[in-house]
Amino acid sequence: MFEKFFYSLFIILGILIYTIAGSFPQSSGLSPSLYPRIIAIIIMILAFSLIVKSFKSENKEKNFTKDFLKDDGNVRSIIVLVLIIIFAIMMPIIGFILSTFIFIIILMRILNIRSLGKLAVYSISITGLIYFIFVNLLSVPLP
Amino acid sequence: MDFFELYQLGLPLVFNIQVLFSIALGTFIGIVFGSLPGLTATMGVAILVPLTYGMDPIQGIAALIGVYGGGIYGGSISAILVNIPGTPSSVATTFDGYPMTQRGEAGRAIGISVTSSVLGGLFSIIILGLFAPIIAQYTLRFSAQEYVGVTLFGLSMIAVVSQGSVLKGLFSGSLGLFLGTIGMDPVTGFPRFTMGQNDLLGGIAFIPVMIGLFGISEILIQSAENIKEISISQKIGRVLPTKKDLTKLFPVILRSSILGVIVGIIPAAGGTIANIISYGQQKNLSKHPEEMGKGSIEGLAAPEAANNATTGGALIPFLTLAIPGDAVTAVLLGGFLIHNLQPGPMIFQNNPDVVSAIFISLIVANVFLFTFAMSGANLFAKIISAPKNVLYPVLVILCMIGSYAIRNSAFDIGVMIIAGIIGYFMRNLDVPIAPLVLALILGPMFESNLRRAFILSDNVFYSFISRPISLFFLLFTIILFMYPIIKKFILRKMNS
Repeated sequence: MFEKFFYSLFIILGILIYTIAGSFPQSSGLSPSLYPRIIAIIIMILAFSLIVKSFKSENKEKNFTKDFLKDDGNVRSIIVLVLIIIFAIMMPIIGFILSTFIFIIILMRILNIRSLGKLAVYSISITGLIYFIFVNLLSVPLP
Repeated sequence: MDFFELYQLGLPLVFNIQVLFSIALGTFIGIVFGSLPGLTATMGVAILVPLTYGMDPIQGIAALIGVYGGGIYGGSISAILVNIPGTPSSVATTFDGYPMTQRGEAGRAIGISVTSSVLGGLFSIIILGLFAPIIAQYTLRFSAQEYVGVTLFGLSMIAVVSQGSVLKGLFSGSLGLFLGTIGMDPVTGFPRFTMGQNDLLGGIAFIPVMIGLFGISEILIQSAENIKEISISQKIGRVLPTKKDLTKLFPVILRSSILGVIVGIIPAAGGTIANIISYGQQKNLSKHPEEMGKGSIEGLAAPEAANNATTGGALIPFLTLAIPGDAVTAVLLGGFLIHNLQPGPMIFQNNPDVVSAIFISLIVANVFLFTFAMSGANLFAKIISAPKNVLYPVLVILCMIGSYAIRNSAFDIGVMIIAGIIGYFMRNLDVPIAPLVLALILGPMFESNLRRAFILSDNVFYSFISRPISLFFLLFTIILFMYPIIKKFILRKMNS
């Protein structure tokens, strides 16, 4: 079920692309709208074929949506994702070092490192190492 | 200057402590840069160029060349160990490299990739020495039509290279093509699909997409596993490839090196394209194509040899015509200018010793590469067997730094995250992610050259066929595309 939903999203995308591309100005030679439109058509054809194909292998299909949230693991993935997003948002606010430090702790906790000692040691050392290597040694700009 | 002089003149220049040390240091830095996802060989060279200002020319150039070779190789390390290409030139390395790690053969994988890379690199230097001036003439003839041919060829490899369903691979590729159109139109400058966002005007930077698609999605998927301190124990031990492996791989490496040199020679085509075309070729020509993608050593050796072979190849147009053969040589041009060296036909006459020193440095760099990577291989394998719950947080941070550092842009971090989400869903649905990245890189090249071709010539279609090189690429693409289909057809006829 999810598969079909996923691909149909792309059919909609294809239609969107095609329409938006129509507003591009024409020019001599090939116009800017031609290539995107061809791509849009290709995407739609392929997405459609994939939907048809998923009908054929109906039986083998994992029941995606229903069981998706039941699976602990998947919930974990979503949490990690949210964590990453929050991390990215927080960084300009509280600075790289602090947010990295907090992030490592939380992420490790999620991934099952329980002992406080380990958490502390790892987060401090990793944050420190990264700062040292990237800023001092390599002069790489940090976010 | 004949062939032997080429290698003799530079010897005294290179073989002194300072220069050798610079090469070693450069190679080491290159490997580190390459292996960190998001930091590329190009970046490594770019950052190092101003640092070499104080050194004398030979030393500085030698160091940069070390970074070049090390960087292109470095990407393979993370590709093999964590399924995240450290540089775009190692995308295809993930296909067979990572499965080997999953089997516990990380050490062997690194050994094979180092050997293939070094052999590829050395091979390209030999070609560089023998053919530089001759080949350079041909690259001058490259115009829009030829680039269309090359990029079309690269794009068609997507179909061949897709692991699993070709249909899904094409789908992934078409998404990448679309993403490549976002940004300013190459000919008219009209912003396409940018939704008013200024950050999108330059197009979507492909490195954050690569990091997100490969890296973040991998981390998300792995988080789903109930990670206690599980790790896959790696067979630490023999890293040097066995004689059996070597004999099996020799034709693969030779073929891939030739391919890599050719691609490297083509201006603006470098490790990335060579890597993927070589893999596609290997799949086509292999007697056991079903093994590819599951950890076959041929599938690992082919892209590895090719991407390092581009180093020598890219130096050919660079030295002979001052035309960069790939992104790194473009930056290298700046490095040369800082040291008052002007590449081009004159350099062979005015500074033959410098040219010779460059060749020798490249050879030495490859040797260092071999030593460092081999001795580090067991260490790398051990690092990977570190518990995942420590490894992954570090990786996330590295990914973030990498995405940001490209353009000093927080927007790119957002791109990386979105790419990660898309990648997560794609992987759950068994849609291969590599084609997307490849199409993202090759698509824009293809389109801009196609449109240039239309503008440049009146009788467009004829222009594609009348130019020999262009015709060659087009025919080659068609043949390669048809090859698997024809093979199946013939097999079926033989069986009935």
